[in-house]
Amino acid sequence: MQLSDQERDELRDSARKFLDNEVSSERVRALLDDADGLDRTAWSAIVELGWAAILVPEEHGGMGATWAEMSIILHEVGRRVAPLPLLSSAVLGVEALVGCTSDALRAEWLPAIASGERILTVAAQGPTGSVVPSELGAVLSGATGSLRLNGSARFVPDAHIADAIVVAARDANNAVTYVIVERGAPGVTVQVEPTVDQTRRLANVTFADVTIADAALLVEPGNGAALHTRVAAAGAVAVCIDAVGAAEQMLFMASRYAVERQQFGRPIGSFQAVKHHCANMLIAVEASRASVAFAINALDDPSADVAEGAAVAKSFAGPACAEACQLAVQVHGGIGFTWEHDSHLYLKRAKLDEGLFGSTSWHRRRLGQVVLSR
Amino acid sequence: MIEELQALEPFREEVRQWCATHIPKNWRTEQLGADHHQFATFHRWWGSQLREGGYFAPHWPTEWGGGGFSLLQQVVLGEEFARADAPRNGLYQVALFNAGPSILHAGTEEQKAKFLPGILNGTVWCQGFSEPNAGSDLAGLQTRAIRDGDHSVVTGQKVWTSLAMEAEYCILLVRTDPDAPKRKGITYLLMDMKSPGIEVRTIRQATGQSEFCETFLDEVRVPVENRLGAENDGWNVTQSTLASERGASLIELAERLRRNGTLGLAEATKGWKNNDGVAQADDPAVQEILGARYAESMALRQLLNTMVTNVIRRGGVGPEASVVKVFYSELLQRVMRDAVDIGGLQTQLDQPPLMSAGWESGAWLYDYINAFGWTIGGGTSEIMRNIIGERVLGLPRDPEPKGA
Ligand SMILES: Cc1cc2nc3c(=O)[nH]c(=O)nc-3n(C[C@H](O)[C@H](O)[C@H](O)COP(=O)(O)OP(=O)(O)OC[C@H]3O[C@@H](n4cnc5c(N)ncnc54)[C@H](O)[C@@H]3O)c2cc1C
Repeated sequence: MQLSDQERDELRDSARKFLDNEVSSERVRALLDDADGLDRTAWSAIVELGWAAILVPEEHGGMGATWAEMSIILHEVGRRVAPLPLLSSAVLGVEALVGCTSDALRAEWLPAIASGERILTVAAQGPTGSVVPSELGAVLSGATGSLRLNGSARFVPDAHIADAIVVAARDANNAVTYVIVERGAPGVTVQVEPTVDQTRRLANVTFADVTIADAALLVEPGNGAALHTRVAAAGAVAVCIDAVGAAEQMLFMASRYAVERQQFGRPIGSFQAVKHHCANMLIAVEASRASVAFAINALDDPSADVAEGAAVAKSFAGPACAEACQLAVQVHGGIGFTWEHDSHLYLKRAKLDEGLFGSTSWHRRRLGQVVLSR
Repeated sequence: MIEELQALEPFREEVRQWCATHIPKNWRTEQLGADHHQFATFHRWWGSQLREGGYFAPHWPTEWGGGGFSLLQQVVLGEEFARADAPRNGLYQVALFNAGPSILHAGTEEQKAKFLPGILNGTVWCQGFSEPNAGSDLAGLQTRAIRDGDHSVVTGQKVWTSLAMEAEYCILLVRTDPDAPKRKGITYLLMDMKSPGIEVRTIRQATGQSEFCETFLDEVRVPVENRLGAENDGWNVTQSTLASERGASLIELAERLRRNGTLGLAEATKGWKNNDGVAQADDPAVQEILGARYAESMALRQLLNTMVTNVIRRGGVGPEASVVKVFYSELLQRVMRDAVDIGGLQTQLDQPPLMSAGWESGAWLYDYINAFGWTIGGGTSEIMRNIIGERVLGLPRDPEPKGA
């Protein structure tokens, strides 16, 4: 089901209203030091609104909508630097299941994710944060029937509150398999590694000879390359959308401040150095939105190359949005450097978005190789 | 917009066919080192080809002999011309995208009947706006026009007038009321370049070529019937047309930049070696730069799509045109800068200019220098940022000197 343009505008408006009211800056700040870092009240309401069900097919109790709709929500969530398990459960978890070959897992998990009854996450990055198969830290060994999972995955969003974790594992030949493990299963250890961005929680997940039953396979062993590409691309695009939302809000705050704040007897926004900082933020935000739109279209188009789309977004929007947030701190002067002011929350969020699912330089290099191979 | 574009596939096919049969295969060799006369002759010929094909004035209404193409058809046309590496239709830019639309918008029926058919038949126009003391501050222009019966008598100097030496007509801004606030005392004239009192001197550009000119005006008589819009209302006439026609022509330029610039550079790196003797295409640092520029090219393309969609849905280009202008021109400059760095010293060897290739001739250092035409011409990048700050973000205007 795809929404009309008007319905999308309505979705955006209602999401914005909801988040402005329910996930205020005070709420976000109250959770910065919370162990779970999850706004459970807001999350229950959000699940009621159906945001966890957007990408879930209708036959599994979802909305069966597209990335065009999902991106609206992710953008608004970024705008409020909201601590919500959308990336983990509603994006990565759903994409992994929708693209897997196990009807049983889909039937078991998708309705539970859509209803918010359970939270799923995906461990798609290795110890250096890389999504390249050879760099994955989770290793699957043994034959079907007696599969074992060892090693670790890192930077896993929301693993500490997830009911289960889908793991991107490699074998000795670097062929990828996706398997699902319960968070409390014997041999699975989840350790949150606090990031400077306190609006999210990433965990190091280790596996000590974890038994993998056949029923826990999302794909035939060694056949997960395409699924991994899709999930990694979805994650990359999702964090870029988040960053555009964050940068847009910073642009709004900085340009408003530039009108209000007076020095030398006039508003600082009349000084060209400041004005051009703001103009550069706007250019960055609009061009980032454009590059991300290209990636979103690719995710919704079965014939498109999602990895290329993700690389375009990560190559441009990742650094551009972080830079826009950096400029916003500068425009705010001393107040922008205080804990009290929200600027730092946005800058840190955008920096983490920039780093997740592949570095800027890696994505650019990969995109360069795509262009060269044409 | 995707569905609407799909509906245009037959049209796209038609344009592609036309390009395949009409674009001279050898134009790049013919135009290499072409002198001004050869350039102009070639363009008059190419213009006639376009006219026969119905692609000369695609954006004009059919009642005035234009193609009456929808904006999306123009998008398709621009994409296909870029894809087919058509020569750029450079000689008629002012006629087709500035003079014509202004006359269509502000002209009387007599003026439309008098000038539009000529433009369609290939009259070359130039734009006499900038002056030595009025560049970014265009409204400060000083060229005077004094009324004498049914004529305006014009005296002053214009500068950077592109192709004035070829032009038969000029869109001219003059001061008619020196006492009014500066934007309120300007009048828009359509001036015959054969009128007595006009002297055109070409200016040699940084690239070595001479495409723009100084235009001296000494008591040039322009009949009142050639005034566009009301007396002292010339500023408004320019404002209503300056940006509005850019959208579709920028799509072609952006597509040329993506293909011949970014992808062309990628192709070139395969034949270039770095100082260690490794093919540049295999150097990860080079791959990273190529990826960065390609991502920006795709962002630009999507920005333009959004702009076009907004025009279709809401009618009219807003100040977002300034975002596109800055982004395009600075990306053009970055691509050429990178090419010179990656290509090494060989990109800095002198070579004859390739005319009619737009801004991607493959002579990378010359292309790099030529890119200033975009970061300076048509409103500098700094002025565009002022516009974005003030008109999009609502920041306070720069304080102007008293009495301005
Ligand atoms: C290739 C080319 C073709 C051209 N063709 C034509 C043509 O056909 N017809 C025509 O009329 N004109 C033409 N122009 C002129 C062009 O429009 C002007 O060059 C341009 O508007 C800048 O004016 P200027 O050269 O006087 O520079 P200036 O206005 O003197 O600017 C010099 C520097 O000061 C900066 N600056 C000026 N004011 C401000 C401000 N308020 N805030 C911040 N920075 C500022 C500028 O950004 C620039 O960096 C052409 C120019 C070029 C380069």
